Amino acid sequence: MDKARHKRNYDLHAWSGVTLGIFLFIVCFTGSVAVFALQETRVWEDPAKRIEATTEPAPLEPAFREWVATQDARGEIEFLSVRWPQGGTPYYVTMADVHLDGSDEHDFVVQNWHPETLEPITTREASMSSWLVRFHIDLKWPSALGGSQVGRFIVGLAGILLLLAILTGIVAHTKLTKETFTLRLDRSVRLKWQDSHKVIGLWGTPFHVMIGFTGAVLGIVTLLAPVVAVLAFQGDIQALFAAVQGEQIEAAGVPAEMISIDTIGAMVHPEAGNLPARINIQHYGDANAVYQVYWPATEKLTTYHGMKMSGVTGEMLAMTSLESGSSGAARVSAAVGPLHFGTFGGVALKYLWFFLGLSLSVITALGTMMWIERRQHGNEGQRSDRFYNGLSRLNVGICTGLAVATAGLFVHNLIFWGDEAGRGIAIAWAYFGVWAAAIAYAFLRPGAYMANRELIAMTGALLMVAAVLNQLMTELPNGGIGSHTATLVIDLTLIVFGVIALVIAKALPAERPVKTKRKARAPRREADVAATVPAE
Amino acid sequence: MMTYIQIAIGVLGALGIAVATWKAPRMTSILFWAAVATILIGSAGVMNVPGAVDSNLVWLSLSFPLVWVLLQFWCYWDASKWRVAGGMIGICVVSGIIVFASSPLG
Repeated sequence: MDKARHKRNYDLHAWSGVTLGIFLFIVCFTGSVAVFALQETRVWEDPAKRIEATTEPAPLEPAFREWVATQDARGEIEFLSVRWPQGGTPYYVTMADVHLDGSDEHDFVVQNWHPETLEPITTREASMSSWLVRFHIDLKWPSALGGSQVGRFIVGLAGILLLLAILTGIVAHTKLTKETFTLRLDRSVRLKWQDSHKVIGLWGTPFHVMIGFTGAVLGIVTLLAPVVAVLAFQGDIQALFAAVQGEQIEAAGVPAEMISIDTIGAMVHPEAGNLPARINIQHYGDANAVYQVYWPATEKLTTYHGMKMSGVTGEMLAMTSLESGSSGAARVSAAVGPLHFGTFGGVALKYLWFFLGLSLSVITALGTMMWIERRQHGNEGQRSDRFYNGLSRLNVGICTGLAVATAGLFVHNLIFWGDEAGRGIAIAWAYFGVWAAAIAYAFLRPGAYMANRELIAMTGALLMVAAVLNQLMTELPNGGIGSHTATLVIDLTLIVFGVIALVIAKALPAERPVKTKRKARAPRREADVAATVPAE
Repeated sequence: MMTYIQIAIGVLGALGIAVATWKAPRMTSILFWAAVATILIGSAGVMNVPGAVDSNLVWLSLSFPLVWVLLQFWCYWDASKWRVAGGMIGICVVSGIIVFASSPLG
């Protein structure tokens, strides 16, 4: 590769990876946490959900019919859904979208039922886990600025940036084999960071490419679909949905007896051999009622195996699974979500995804740190020491501060004392408040190195405090430590990660380990700058 | 019906893109033209590739990030900044003609 092309490629790598490195870090770090927040921490955070899983739940049909009749009296039920007790929700969940009588408004009703007593269970509406997942998916983008769709698109752009940074990063490495095995931890700060950036990046390339690609697909499709509809369907979004989902079955207007929910709940999937996780119902009580039954596919590269059937006769209308009944496009599409969130291989795979996601966060942070280091203590900087010092502190405050804010949310979940209706707002205040305080803290400490070290120690301490507080403050089933597996797993994970964070903090230096300081350089003359830019 | 304000915004936007392309062809290509070219290539593909529309839309969604990133990469790979800008605009024009000359789906 000629020198000019190499420089252009490096510039693009720096532009995509460093200029927007802090944004990439936020998306990668929150994504690592979201791996557990999809299921495991949901049980941990809400004592009402800590119900021992049962393999033989009580029949729901009589209570379900009564509940449907109650909703039906309020208006037209446009959609019904039932979830059977499983993993993160060890209780029945029923949902209804009711078009209220005499109004254009809809009411989406959710009811949780104890799996054995069928008593209503009141769970929290706002949750820490939802916050952590949503912040990764759409940055909790305010509705005044376009809402969730815009947020998802912006996060999807992070996937595009990541793919571009990986491609240009690989092209920039002219000695790939040598650099894959070079880690000089006893040399200067810059070499140590540079080697770590390259080694972690090169070894993790397959995962990083996959996570960038799937993230981009999940994010940008939300805004891409309307654009494609405008162009290919001449703005007819209904035609686009019909093309993707197929024609919808209309209600016949003839009352009919429905197949029992409990009968569906006992149906074993012919290929997967397990029981269903949920059912979506259209036109309940009508001769054209449609049941969409979903069986979990926890060890397959798809979220669910699906079956569409008549809710009256049980006649199968369509069946989709990874092995049969779906097109290649549908199979690849169904794999995107599980691949991105690591939901297809149990808890062990989630830990792997978590560590690989953290490694990606570390790479982006190292890239930004190297960029600053080269300018503050090398020959590339044209600004004052004060400027680069401030940039370094800002980088530490945002990146390590995000870890402190996330750990702080676990503690906040346990010590929140206000009205439950205000929990959602309190979560936002706690998250952004701690994050802002961490950024301010990074500017108040004598140096960025010390601030980084202390913020990592704070993260470790908060994680351990959360685990201990959980055991002391919350009521565990049967009154004993570890009587609920999911809760115990999260507590142990918090303690282990807390210890790891404290060990890392202890190992990190409190100040930059060099004696000489860079002399401020005079700004380059325009003629010199022009001479370094390759001719095109 | 378009209002005068919408027309003015459109004209100003087009002028802005034209000036930006003239002043910084590589940067404008990577930030703007690559995205437009990807959308138009995808739409032209969905409308003309044989097969089920739902499958084609899924493949379009999956190929979108790859096409976009490759076009962005080419913006800085090619030695001539004018070839980059010209190539991007050319792709947009050709794909646009295909989109508007094809029968709408649905």
